Amino acid sequence: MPPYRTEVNDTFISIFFEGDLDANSSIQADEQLSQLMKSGQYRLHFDFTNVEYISSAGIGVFLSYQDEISEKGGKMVFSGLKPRVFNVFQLLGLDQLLEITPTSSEALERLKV
Amino acid sequence: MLLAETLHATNSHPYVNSSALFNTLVNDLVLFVFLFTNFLLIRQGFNAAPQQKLKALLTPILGIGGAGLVLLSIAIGISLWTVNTPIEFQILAIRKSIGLYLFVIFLFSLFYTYRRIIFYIPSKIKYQLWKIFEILQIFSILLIFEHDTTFLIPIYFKYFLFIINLAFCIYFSTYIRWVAYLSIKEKIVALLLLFGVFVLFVLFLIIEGYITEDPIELLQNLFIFKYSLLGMVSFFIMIYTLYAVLVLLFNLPTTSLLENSLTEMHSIRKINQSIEETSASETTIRTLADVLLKGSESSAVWIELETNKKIVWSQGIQPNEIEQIIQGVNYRTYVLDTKKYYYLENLNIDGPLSGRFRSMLVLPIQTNQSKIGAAFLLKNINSGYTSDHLRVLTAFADQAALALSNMELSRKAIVFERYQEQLAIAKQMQSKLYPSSFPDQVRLNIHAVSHQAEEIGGDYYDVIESSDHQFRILMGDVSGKGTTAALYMAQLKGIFQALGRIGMDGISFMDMLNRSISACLGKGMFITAAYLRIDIPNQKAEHFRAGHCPTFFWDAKNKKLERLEEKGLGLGILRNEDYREHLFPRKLDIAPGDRFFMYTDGIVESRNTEGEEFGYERLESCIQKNIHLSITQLSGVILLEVERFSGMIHQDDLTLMIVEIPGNLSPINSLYPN
Repeated sequence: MPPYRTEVNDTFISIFFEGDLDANSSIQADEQLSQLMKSGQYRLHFDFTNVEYISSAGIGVFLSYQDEISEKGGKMVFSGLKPRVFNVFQLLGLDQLLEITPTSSEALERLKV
Repeated sequence: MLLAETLHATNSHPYVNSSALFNTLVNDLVLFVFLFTNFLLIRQGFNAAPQQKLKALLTPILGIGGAGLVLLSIAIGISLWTVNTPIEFQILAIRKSIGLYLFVIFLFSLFYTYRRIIFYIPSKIKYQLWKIFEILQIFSILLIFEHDTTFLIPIYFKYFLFIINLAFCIYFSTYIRWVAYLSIKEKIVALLLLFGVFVLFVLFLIIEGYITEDPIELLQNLFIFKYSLLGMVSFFIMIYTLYAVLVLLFNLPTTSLLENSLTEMHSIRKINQSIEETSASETTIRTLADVLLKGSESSAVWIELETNKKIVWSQGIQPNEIEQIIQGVNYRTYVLDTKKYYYLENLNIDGPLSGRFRSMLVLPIQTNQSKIGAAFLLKNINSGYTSDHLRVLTAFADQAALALSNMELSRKAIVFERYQEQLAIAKQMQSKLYPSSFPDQVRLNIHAVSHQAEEIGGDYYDVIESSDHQFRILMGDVSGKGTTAALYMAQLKGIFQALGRIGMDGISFMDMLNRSISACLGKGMFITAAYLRIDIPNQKAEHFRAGHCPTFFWDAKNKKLERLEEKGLGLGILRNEDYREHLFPRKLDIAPGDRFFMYTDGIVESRNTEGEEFGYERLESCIQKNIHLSITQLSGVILLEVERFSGMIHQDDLTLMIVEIPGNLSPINSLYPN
């Protein structure tokens, strides 16, 4: 599976996730995020416009980097969540914890220094 | 026959009178019975079961055969006595009849011995033809009655029998394939035996005076043998013996080739046996090295394996010598990649080794699926390996490769089986983590069902009745599936069982639960949970939703089904005291008949073939429609509905628990006032 498309901006990186983020595909997402962490990228924009489904394992991937990001003074913002995907975040109470914006432009706004 | 001969002699004697014809006929009859019974008895003896064969053979030879002999002698005696023959003729007659008797035994035994070797490779048609052949032999006994003086047997009958017999003899003589199965030693022995038979035969003919100078008479003696059955049988034996001798002689030079292929077959069998016997790959490798060495007359062999990239077996060569020969070249990888042997006809090495090793052959040991290793063979002559060697050695290597890869497969199967066993044990262990019986059903009616997608899973539910007469009920779902989830579930159980027994307010309880479980959970793992505290004496309940599917609450009085959807963060997501801020308790008044429906996402996320989820609405309407049923019946209906929707396949772990506030609370109230 090819890595998810990324877009490098001045102060952050956007990652465009696609399809289902289930136990299998989230391994790919995990590897990609781990690469970014290693290269010192802590300001991240996750575009979910094309994500159809996310499982608990998928959510776990993002949660596992949350501490490291906040430690390093970074930030992660989610955008473009489909109602079904947002419901999962909401059910887990993550809408209170994570920065989730309806549109990409709002996310970019939040990531600007 | 010989008797007739004797009689013939006596007939020509001057003292003989004309009553000889009668005597001849009597003698012929005796002879007929003698030959016929002997033939049948020896036949029967040879057809007997192996363990009774000796007895079956000795009986006719010693018993009935002997009786026949006595009878014969008496018959001769009588016939000669009546014609007043001199004593020397009588002695001659008796000697001849003993000779005849021995010859009969010899001949018939040989006849059936040949039958056995002809039938070394049996076939139905052969059996049927042999039967006809036997009948023909018995028929030919009738020829005894052929005399110049009688007209009982037409003259052409003899020739007719002879021609058919000849055809059969030629037909059966073609069954000489057993020769191919003999080793060179066995062939020489067979040749000597057959030659012995031949000599004995000729000797008998000479002694009995059948070898005459007149060639026509000689031919007649040899082939038609005036004496019927014996003539026919000996005719067959002569032809077969002669033919077998010739075939054996011509086969001798090519035997070494045949023997080689027999050795090859034997070697392959040896490789296969090494698997059956030990199932240790070491034995197979050793066997392979051994058969390669012997099969090619090489002076040294070594075997390298792909798995550890090491020499696992060598013979006739030292490790430091191997270094000198390969000089750092990785032949193993080369032959395994090309899937072909590598042959160095002229091995160029300096030093003392050059005299010992002049050609080298490297064979890949591999199957279609797996690369196992390579076998190296060395010979002390240039161009030491022929295409025949290559063919055979490749066959050995292939066979061994197959054996080794089968071993590997069965080893994996055993490991897998052990893993399955462990999993079954884990499943059994986990089933013990669920409460086997719920607290007193008078005070609280509870029914729970749980299905795991795999052997073990991460769903959890438990009920504790704590010291302050309150029920603490937890429904949890560890993220992910399988073994990891199951291990965290077990930890959750421990933590819940410990915390649940301490009288704590809801928020403190949830905070402690979160902190305790966070200490155990791996990175990125979390647990969603629904926690319900029921205070029956005070008819109150408190509910927390920690990222879990909302619990349904059935208000029996108002006939209303409500989702308890207060906000709440999953356990282990926020692993510090900030978690308290993400807890939103819901307080409820409860009354008899009220019900709580707690479940895991396996129910609402069950998908049908179109990918559509079962969802909360379907669950809701299913509960409402069937709320009149008992909680046991109702949980059955809900699961059935989910199964019907998703087509019987549970993709995820799935748990459902229904808690009902019992109808009569008064006895409890009286027991535990306030």
